[in-house]
Amino acid sequence: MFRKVLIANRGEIALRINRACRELGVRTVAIFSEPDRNSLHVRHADEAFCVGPGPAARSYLNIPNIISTALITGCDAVHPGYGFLAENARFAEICADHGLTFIGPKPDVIAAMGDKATAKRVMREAGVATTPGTDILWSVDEARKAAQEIAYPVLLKATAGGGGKGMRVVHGPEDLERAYSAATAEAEASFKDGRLYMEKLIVKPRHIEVQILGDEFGNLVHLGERDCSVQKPSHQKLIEEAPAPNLSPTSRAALHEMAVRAGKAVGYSNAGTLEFLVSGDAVYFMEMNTRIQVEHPVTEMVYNIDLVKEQIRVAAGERLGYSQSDLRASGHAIECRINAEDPRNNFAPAAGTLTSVVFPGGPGIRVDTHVFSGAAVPPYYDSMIAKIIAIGESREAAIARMERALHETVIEGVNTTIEQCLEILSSQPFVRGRYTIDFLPQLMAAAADRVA
Amino acid sequence: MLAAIGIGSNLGDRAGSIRRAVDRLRNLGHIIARSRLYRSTPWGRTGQPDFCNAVVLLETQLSARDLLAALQQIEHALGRTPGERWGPRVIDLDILLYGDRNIEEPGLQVPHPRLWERGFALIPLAEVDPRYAAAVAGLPPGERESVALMSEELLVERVRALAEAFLQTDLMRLRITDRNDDAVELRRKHVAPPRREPVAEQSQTPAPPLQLDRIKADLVGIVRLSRPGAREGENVEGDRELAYVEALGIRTPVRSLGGGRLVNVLCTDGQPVEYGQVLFEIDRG
Repeated sequence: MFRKVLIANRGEIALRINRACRELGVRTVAIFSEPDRNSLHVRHADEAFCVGPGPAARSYLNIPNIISTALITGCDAVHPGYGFLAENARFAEICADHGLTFIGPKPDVIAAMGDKATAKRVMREAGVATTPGTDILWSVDEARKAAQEIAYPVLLKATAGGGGKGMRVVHGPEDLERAYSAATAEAEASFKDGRLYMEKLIVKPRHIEVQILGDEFGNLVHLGERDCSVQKPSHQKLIEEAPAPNLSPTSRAALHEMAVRAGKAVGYSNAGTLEFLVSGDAVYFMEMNTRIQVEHPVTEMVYNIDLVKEQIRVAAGERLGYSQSDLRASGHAIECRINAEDPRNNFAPAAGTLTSVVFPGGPGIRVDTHVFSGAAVPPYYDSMIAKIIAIGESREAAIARMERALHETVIEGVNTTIEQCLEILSSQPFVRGRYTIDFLPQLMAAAADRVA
Repeated sequence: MLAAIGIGSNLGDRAGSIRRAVDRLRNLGHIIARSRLYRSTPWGRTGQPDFCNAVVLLETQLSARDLLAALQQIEHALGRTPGERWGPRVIDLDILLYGDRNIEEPGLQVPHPRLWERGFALIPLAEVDPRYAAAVAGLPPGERESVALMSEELLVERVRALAEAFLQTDLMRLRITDRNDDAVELRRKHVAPPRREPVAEQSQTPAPPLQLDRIKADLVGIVRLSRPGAREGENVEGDRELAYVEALGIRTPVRSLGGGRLVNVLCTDGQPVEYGQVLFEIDRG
């Protein structure tokens, strides 16, 4: 096991990693930016170093200062969390060059899966179903030809993309040229890589992802699926649940089998997630995330496994202590993301000071957060301030418990997504467990109409 | 007609909601005055967040009825939905006064019927219209105590008081730093004779004031003091290298950035340092 781990992140995930390390008897080093000096993740770590000013590019993405901190404090491993440097293959390589274990998959796997077009090709070759689509497109003409073959509507996507940037829906040939140049320009501006590929647009799909976990000896298991179809128009997830409701046994088995096959095909080690689009009984691989996910707690709750501890153990060279047949899910878990943003103002992030904070408790409730009464929410980072997770013996019990927990929650000083989560939990499509990624945008449009 | 509008909010970004409401009031006429922001405990209920209140004097061409409709539109646009949980309000706009008219119509009573018993309306009103100062004295017991300036307004008051206190001293520079390393610095432009009364014991000339400059590390690494090392109390000249920070095999010099007296050496050779850590203090005086 490691002696000391540097936690290259902030917020709730930095605390989450710190907790796992504590329980494993591993010492921790936190890094922080100047405005985060009084953050909880700084207080809970054994040591903490300021690595730069507020903007992430100069602090949480400041590779030289982060590596230097790890070296002068005698760390032997780095946990990147999610976001920031978590899927940066170069950072993983630099860690290795300095004798630090990067807690995650190998750099070449991160690089291959980080390039979406490459990832799809690798998956196709491994026999995993992917959406009909193309490799990288080199011209509008090539795009036009491809769109005719695939049949409209199609989706143009940036190969370096994420978060909906550099992505355009094209309904017919007349829109293609404009969409192509807009997506290239946006991708170029956002990722310094304007290359695009094309996919068939799956209309009203569900977003279902499968958690996998592998060790460095070729053992690999899946830990079931999560339904993440409650997404804002920007494709950011708001509510996730495990298992996915109303999923046919055939589709579920297909998803799990494909995820394990995909993981084995790339020699995956550590925790990872394969995202799929599900439409009826059809299942298509979308992309792979080579890190721990925000929504990992719902899987932890139904499998009773600590995924972050497992990440650290396998990175330290331990073998998985179980095989697929040992794993059984039980109950139903739901996560609501509490973001400091204004649902009434198109989810614009809100910064400020939290004047009063009270989190829920009681049976079956877990709260992963870094905020407290008096905490500052700096404007530089992600707007998520807490995750509330409810587990119940059934889906109905989990929903009732979550509603109860959200009513107990008080957050003053900034606007949050609590009210919106409550609205979703009580809406018919969600209650019945029959919703697709169109659900939340439609609900929001309906709410906007009511106000206007 | 000159109307007095009471604004209240106790949900979300309260001060921000009030500012947004004031911005929208500009479309209804000419704003003559705006009170500072006050906070008050909600009427008749506990366990609700405090209200933030302000009063605006608006010169408007609108009739009282049209003004009321316009205010309701603003409430709507800023997100007030009827019947919210626990009754907190994103924004609440009331016509307190409409000239010196008395209006008694369904849904429209001006002056506001409870104006004379509500500190959160009367106290900001008295600030923009001093004629109502006497009415503040007549508020029911406890009403005055339930209303105070918002902390951000108090901050402005405190900085003003601080500046006045600073002028009473002979300090050159006063820097106050909080736990976030956010600082307020007051600096005297030119030396004024101390206003202090001469005291017999203090006949000898006072020590010249310090002008401390903090030299900080701008990267994470191990600090190595330069040899021969500059010692505390020594004068450094030019842009002297005081130390370097070693990180990832690269040495980054730490320089004095000009001459002065080295007052404090705040690091030891071989010590790990973080970004922004103060390594040296130099008196430029």
